[in-house]
Amino acid sequence: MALILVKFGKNNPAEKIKLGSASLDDDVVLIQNGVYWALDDMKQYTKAKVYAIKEDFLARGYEESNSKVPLINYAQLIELIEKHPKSIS
Amino acid sequence: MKITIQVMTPPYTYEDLDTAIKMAQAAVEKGHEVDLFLFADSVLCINKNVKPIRIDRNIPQKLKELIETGKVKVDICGICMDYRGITTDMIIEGAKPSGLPELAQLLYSSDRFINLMA
Repeated sequence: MALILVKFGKNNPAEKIKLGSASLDDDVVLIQNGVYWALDDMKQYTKAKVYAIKEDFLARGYEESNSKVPLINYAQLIELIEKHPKSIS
Repeated sequence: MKITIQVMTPPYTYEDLDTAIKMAQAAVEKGHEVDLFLFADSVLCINKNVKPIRIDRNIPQKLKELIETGKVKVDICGICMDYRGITTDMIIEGAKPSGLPELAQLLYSSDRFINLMA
């Protein structure tokens, strides 16, 4: 069980490996340019639950309805940090 | 809970410091303690002579405000400062030059460690 932070976009091979190796009970949070992943159906990349930081998503010109994953704020990110003793970023 | 966040990338070129600051603010609001460990080029953000244009965010000032809450500590890698010509008189009040032994101590004593790698 781990929290995985994804901060690079879809052309980053390391992020693809992180997503692919995540398990069912992991949580993935898309931050910074990582939010570009949220435009896709994430089920094709990972088994883990995926969230994106709303502020970072909107900062890139998208609207909430464009995201295919739940959008969260920083307080909710801290809740996920509380939940997971381990993190991968 | 004690949360340590390590940052490595320079301010304004990369977003990691903005992410770290927002995470620290949210963590403090939830009653956590935060230690920000500045490593490599991220130490540039601690220079109080940094003067962004008025509409942009002032990262050193934001860090100073976080330190003033008493819930956030900022540790700066001393060797990284030397490599970039940053002297102790240039750093914002409350931040302290530190080093890898202190980082090791933080890894040991923190409940959570978030590493915003380059």
